[in-house]
Amino acid sequence: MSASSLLSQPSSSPATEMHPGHAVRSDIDILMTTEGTYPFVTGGVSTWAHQLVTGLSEKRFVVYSVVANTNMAARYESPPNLAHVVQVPLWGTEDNAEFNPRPGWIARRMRRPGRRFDEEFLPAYAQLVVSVALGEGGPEDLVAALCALSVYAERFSLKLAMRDGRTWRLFRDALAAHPLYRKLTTYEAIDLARSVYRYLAPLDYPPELPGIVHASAAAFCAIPAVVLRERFGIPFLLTEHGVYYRERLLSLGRTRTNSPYRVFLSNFYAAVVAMSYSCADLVAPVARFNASWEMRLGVEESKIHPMPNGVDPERFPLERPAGSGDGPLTLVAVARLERLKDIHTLLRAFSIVRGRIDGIRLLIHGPESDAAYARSCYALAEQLALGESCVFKGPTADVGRALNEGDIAVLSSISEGFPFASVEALMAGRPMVATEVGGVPEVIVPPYGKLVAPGRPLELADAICAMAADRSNLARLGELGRQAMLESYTLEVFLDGYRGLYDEVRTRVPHR
Amino acid sequence: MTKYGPVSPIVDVPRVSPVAGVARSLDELRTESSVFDDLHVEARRVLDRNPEPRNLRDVAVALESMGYTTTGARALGFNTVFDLALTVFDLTYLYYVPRTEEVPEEVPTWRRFADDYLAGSWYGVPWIMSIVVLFVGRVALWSSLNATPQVAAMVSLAFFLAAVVAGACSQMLARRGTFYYLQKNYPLVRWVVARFLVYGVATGLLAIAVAYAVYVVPVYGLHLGEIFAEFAVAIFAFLLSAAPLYMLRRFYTLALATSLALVVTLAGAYLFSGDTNDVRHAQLLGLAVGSGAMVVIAASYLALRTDVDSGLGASVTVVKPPALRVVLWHSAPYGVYGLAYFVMILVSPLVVGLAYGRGLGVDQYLYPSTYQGSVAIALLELVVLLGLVHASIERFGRRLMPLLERHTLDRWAQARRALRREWIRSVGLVVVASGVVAWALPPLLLQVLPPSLTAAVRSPGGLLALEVAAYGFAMVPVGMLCSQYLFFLGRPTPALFGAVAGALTSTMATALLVHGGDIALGAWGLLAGTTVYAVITGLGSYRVLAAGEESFYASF
Repeated sequence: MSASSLLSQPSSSPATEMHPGHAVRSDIDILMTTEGTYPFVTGGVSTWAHQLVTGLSEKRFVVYSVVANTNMAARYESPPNLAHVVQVPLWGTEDNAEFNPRPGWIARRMRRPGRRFDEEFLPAYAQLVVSVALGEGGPEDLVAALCALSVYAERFSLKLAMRDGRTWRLFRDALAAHPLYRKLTTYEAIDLARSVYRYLAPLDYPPELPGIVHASAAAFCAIPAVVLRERFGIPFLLTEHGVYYRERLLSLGRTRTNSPYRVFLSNFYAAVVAMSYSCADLVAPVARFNASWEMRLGVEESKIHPMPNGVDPERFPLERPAGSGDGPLTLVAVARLERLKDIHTLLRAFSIVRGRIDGIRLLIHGPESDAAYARSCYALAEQLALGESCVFKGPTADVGRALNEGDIAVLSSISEGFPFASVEALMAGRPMVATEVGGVPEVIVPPYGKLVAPGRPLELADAICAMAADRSNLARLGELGRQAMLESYTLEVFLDGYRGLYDEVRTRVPHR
Repeated sequence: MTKYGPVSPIVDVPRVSPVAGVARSLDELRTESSVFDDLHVEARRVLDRNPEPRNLRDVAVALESMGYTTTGARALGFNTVFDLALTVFDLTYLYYVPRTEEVPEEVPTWRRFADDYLAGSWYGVPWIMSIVVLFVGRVALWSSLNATPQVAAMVSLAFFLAAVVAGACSQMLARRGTFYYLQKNYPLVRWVVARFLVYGVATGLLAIAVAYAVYVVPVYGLHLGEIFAEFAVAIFAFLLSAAPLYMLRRFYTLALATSLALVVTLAGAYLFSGDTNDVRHAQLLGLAVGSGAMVVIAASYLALRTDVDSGLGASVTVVKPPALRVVLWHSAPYGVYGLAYFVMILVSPLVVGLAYGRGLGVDQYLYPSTYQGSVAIALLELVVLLGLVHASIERFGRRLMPLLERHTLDRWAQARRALRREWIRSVGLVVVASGVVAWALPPLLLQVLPPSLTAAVRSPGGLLALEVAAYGFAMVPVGMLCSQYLFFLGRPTPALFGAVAGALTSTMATALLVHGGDIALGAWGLLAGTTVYAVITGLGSYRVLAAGEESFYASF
């Protein structure tokens, strides 16, 4: 049976059916969905999530964490109002029931779907393939497909349905009929079909019904939010840190795969992003910069409410004024060692700065998020003969103290959402030189900040030298920066903002 | 976006400037400073980041990662990065360079096969070493023993029970442990090893205790029962502790540990050979086997510490484990397969021993030394054939992905044909090789082995049993290879059915055949069981491989 013939069949439209009997009403206020971040990975998004959950102690949260695999350890202490964490590994399991043995998992596996496979699963899967791979139809088609699949997954094994020969043949024939995808190798096509199953894993982890569902990215972690919104009318708030679609494209550009393979995946990401935007009642980017991408990707302007992050000023005290003391001037960077932070540019810039300012040092605080990239950073530092002037200090639990070790903070990222690192540095009284990416320009403004284009070591070095030239002025710049942050980017402002957004998103959904 | 969206940009913003011209070298372009030429340079740089941009957004992402912001775009006369991207995208096709595939160095087929054969042979090394050394060393585990038939019966029963239970546990551990080990998911490797070993040991001890209390002691008495329990525990510990080494593919460690264990066992055997009390002698020998098992346990422990614990870091205490019941559910078919497999190949002498006992007027298992000797010699052919089985499956694993990559999606039918040919070639080779070995090896062994070891086998009944058992064991590698195909493709059910049907057939056919008193006919029961196993797994694996890419897809 082909995808098109299945789509032409009259459908009972299971996507719009309400199945309250299968869902568990709960006392959970907020279901927060994350992807590859909180509470298993440290970083900006996780800090944001932890601050929100901890700060809104009057609300009960469940965190629904989509992660790459099962080898994940929680990195944050669970606050009392966090009821539990649902861990949703996309890979590394043989059966989704391993991490979600909800009642009836054996029955779902043993139960034969019979005609419901043909009448419900296959048409929904065909709709999904057409929406995702061929780029036909709108977000509403993908939403309908996902809702139908989620209904099916309540009674039957999604895995067995996905493994079925008819499912594969539908996928294969749909792609083999396409002028571009037919040039996929058979192995690539299999890999893609399996990836579809893996990416749909959230359908096998139906959450309790919360008051509000809050997705932290327009990504696969938004799938449960979309299903909750469409099937149960749960208000859906979407926060975007980086623009997921943009980051996936950057990542795909680096893969050594054939064109049709990358096209399929980028179409898949685009479809999921568009679906998330379409279903969200409110979109709250952490920076106005994201809004430009979001509007270009189809979000109505009226839905967009930028909501910058905040930090706790007490965690970033001004212990030592910038530039004070007789020691050598010190640059400080707080960044994970990964490609998006472009540490290579920082090292190259520092190599230039060393030639101009005697004795200057660079301290880099941050974990090795990407081991291979971290190795390349160490190798580059050695190649540039930076010696002891550049120190990779590893992860730190006390970012405030780490920042106080430096006089000028530096950020060399090629992509940022909301730049926590910038706010934290300024809050700690460090003037900053940063790259003009993402939401950075919204935080880093003269005179306490200088912006340069990303990926340009010479420009970065020039800006650092310009700022370092007047060492006696650094303390004043740092104080100005701190004052600016205290006015706009405190935790209080941030939490009040989200209280307002949660109230607002409720009013956008008619009570059902 | 068009129907085939990826091929053209989204034209949703006005063009800023018309672009035309002929591409020149990058160096040429760099020497000029006009915007037009800068755009060419950037088009080429975009392709460095994304070799095949599909649309405006792809290009915008690349430009941003190159440092373009609104400020940068304005410097070139565009309002936004998206405006700039639209123009640059029009130029990218000029700089598209088709990728050249790296052709891997060709390795001669014979060399590949030899490597695979040797690698595959490592799987059987502990078995081979144990059989050969204990056989040649004339330690009282096989027909060559100089112990009494009662003691030999105890050792034989203990070996049967230990192998069957350890086989089940080892299969489950191997399957799930390897699943996590290949993902480098060390916390869960450790979790699964700990669970499966603990539950495996508990199951083994329970089985041994039940057999001891319900059958062995009531039938043979307390002293012989103790020998049974002692050997069963020692052999079970030996076999189960080797499972993590298999999982970690630590074949050298396994060979070394087995060697040391055998040295300990042989040393014990010779040390205690002066003891004239049969029971006490056997007890001391059991102690030596247990000591040998300790060596393998130690080796396993050290290997796990080296390979797994070192990768754990600080996360071991906080990683959430999967639900054990779900893991057990998915591992159970492999456990049942392991159990049935060992029953199938070991049950025949057991059934023959019971018939032998009845023939002598006692309702108990008696050690059938002649039959056991024939079966033990026939079993030696697996020494040669195991390597071939594993070589075939290694080769399959290595060839499958390139084969599927060679065929584009519109040529999936050719991929299926290629897989069918692969099955026919590999299974055919194993069938032929097994037949030849079954035909040639037993007579050869009878000539080579010392007459004192083979004297009992040379009787007419012994020779018949040897000849038939040789063909019976020749079926095992065929079924084993077909089962491996099925496991590889995530379809354990036909293998499970094959092994269970083989075990049942082997048991019932042997019982029926020896019912009349001619125990040499028991070998036909073995042959029937292994043939059923080979046929069912063969049909199952052919069906699965014939479905080609569909089966590989469904193996997740």
